[in-house]
Amino acid sequence: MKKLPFPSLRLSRESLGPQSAWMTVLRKLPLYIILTAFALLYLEPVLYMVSMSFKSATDITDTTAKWIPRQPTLTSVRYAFDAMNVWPVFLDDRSLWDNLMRSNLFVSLLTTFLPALIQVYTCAIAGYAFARLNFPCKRLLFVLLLMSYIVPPQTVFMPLTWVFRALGVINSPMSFILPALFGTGLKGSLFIIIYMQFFKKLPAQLEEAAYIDGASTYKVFVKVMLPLAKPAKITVFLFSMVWHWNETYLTGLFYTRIGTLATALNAIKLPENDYSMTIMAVKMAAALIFVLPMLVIYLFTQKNFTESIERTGIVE
Amino acid sequence: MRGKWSYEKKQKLVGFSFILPWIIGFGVFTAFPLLYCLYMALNKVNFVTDHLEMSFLGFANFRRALYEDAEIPNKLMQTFQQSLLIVPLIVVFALIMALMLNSKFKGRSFYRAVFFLPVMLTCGNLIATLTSQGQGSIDALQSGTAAALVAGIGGTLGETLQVVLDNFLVILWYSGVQMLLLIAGMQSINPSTYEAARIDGAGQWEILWTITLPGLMPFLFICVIYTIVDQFTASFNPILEVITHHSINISTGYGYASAIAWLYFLVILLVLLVVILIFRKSLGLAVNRKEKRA
Repeated sequence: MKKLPFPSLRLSRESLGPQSAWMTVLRKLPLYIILTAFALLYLEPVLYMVSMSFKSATDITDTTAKWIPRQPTLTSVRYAFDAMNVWPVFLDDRSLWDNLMRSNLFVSLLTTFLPALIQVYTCAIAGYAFARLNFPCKRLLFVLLLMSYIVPPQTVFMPLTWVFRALGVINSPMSFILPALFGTGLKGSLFIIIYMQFFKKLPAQLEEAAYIDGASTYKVFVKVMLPLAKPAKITVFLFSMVWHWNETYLTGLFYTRIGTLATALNAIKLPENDYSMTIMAVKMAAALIFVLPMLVIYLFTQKNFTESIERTGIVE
Repeated sequence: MRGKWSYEKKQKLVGFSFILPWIIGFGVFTAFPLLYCLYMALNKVNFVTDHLEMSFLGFANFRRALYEDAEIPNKLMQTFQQSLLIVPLIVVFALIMALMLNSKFKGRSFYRAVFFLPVMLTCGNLIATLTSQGQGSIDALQSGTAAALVAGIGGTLGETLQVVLDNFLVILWYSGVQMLLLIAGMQSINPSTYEAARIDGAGQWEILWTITLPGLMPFLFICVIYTIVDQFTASFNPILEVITHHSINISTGYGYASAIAWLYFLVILLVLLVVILIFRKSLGLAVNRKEKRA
């Protein structure tokens, strides 16, 4: 025990002696009950999705096979895989790039990871400026930042499409990469605000020390502040990735000849005159294919997302 | 020549260089479409085969939306009231969940992974499809004993509970992002502050009110902003449906849709300005301090 200059009279719980393991579990019991209840609410649709995807037509009407299909089948999953154009058969008379762009999975991956990676850095630059630097019309620009966040693309879709057409980025992932390069892009304003609030919480002494050593503002940002913003970078990357993956409205506007998994998911239909499948099963199978890549990425990296935030916790 | 540039001016120039890319992006991808939309709102817009035909109307489109079309002010008010109700509920729910997920217990990373699911599943009509098939909701809560119990409580508490029950689905599925934001925010509070408080004999409750919540203010601000915009721009929003309907409707036209859209922005902006006023301590102070120093 450290010796305190002014020992407080009240005793903390820890100082009352070691607690038995049972006591700690008992104390956490309400926590477990509440969290488990909500976790089940979130897990149920996912489990339903998985179970539904493998159900045959007879299983769906069979009430005894609520969760585990009696006659599991891959029919729905196979059909959804083809109907969503996840990975089409490559045509010999086209270039590799053209063939790849016919795959909705490939287009989705391009539209997801490149803009997300770019936004992590470009939004950090703008966020740092709002948090720590001085420039003319700062308050006005902050209001404009908020304003750009509240504009639903549905309301400006026509002039927006003109801009992208004039820039020649229609039907290419560039229509998401280009805005990201400027720190705007899908929900860019929100990411800038996230960075702004993170940078504001960092103690000023860190920068001051670097300035005294003669570093420029650019150097301080790149060498000191950006590495410290790891929790913000992880948060922004995660959200940007998921939101680009899930985007349907803008991809519907900009992608007329290519498609993503999200738009394919919304458009999925049953083949005509085919009664071997049900629309419910096909929709769920499509949803499963759609969610799977994100789910796998998240499961493999979730330690990074949830725990490393703690390890890098900003210290003063 | 160099000597004429004061330190302050140079610093401002450096700061400007950081924000310049965003200003360009804003100009091209937001300001231009938005202003063009305003221009169209002041006109009657007709599509003639390959170009637009505009005839200047002045504020007629706005007047029509506000005074003649009973539907618009009604729906604006409805959205406004709905968000006033649902935003605090979502943020408080997210805060409680984040506090729980941030405490130390076994299996925490599993629970955190599960609570990320709503973020991944809120795509297009995926949630709608799932809930329409009876998933992700608790029927037991909305009918039967629980509902009767709540109805029996009465008073303010009963009414609040009733609202929570009615909007349970929305609260449940649209609070995932906020939870993650708040958890990330909690990591940025210095652990030694907690230690010091515990040594001084502060209880859990005191620590929550004096350390965690004030430290979380900047992140609560992000959460509130996010929730408001999320609710206002969700595709199921009644106003957006009206706008989309009018923009493809030939008789009313894109000009009228743009006018409604601008009214809508103004309402959202008004709400956001109120939020900024509430959070001015966690936002404004930092800005002021910097300005004084410079």
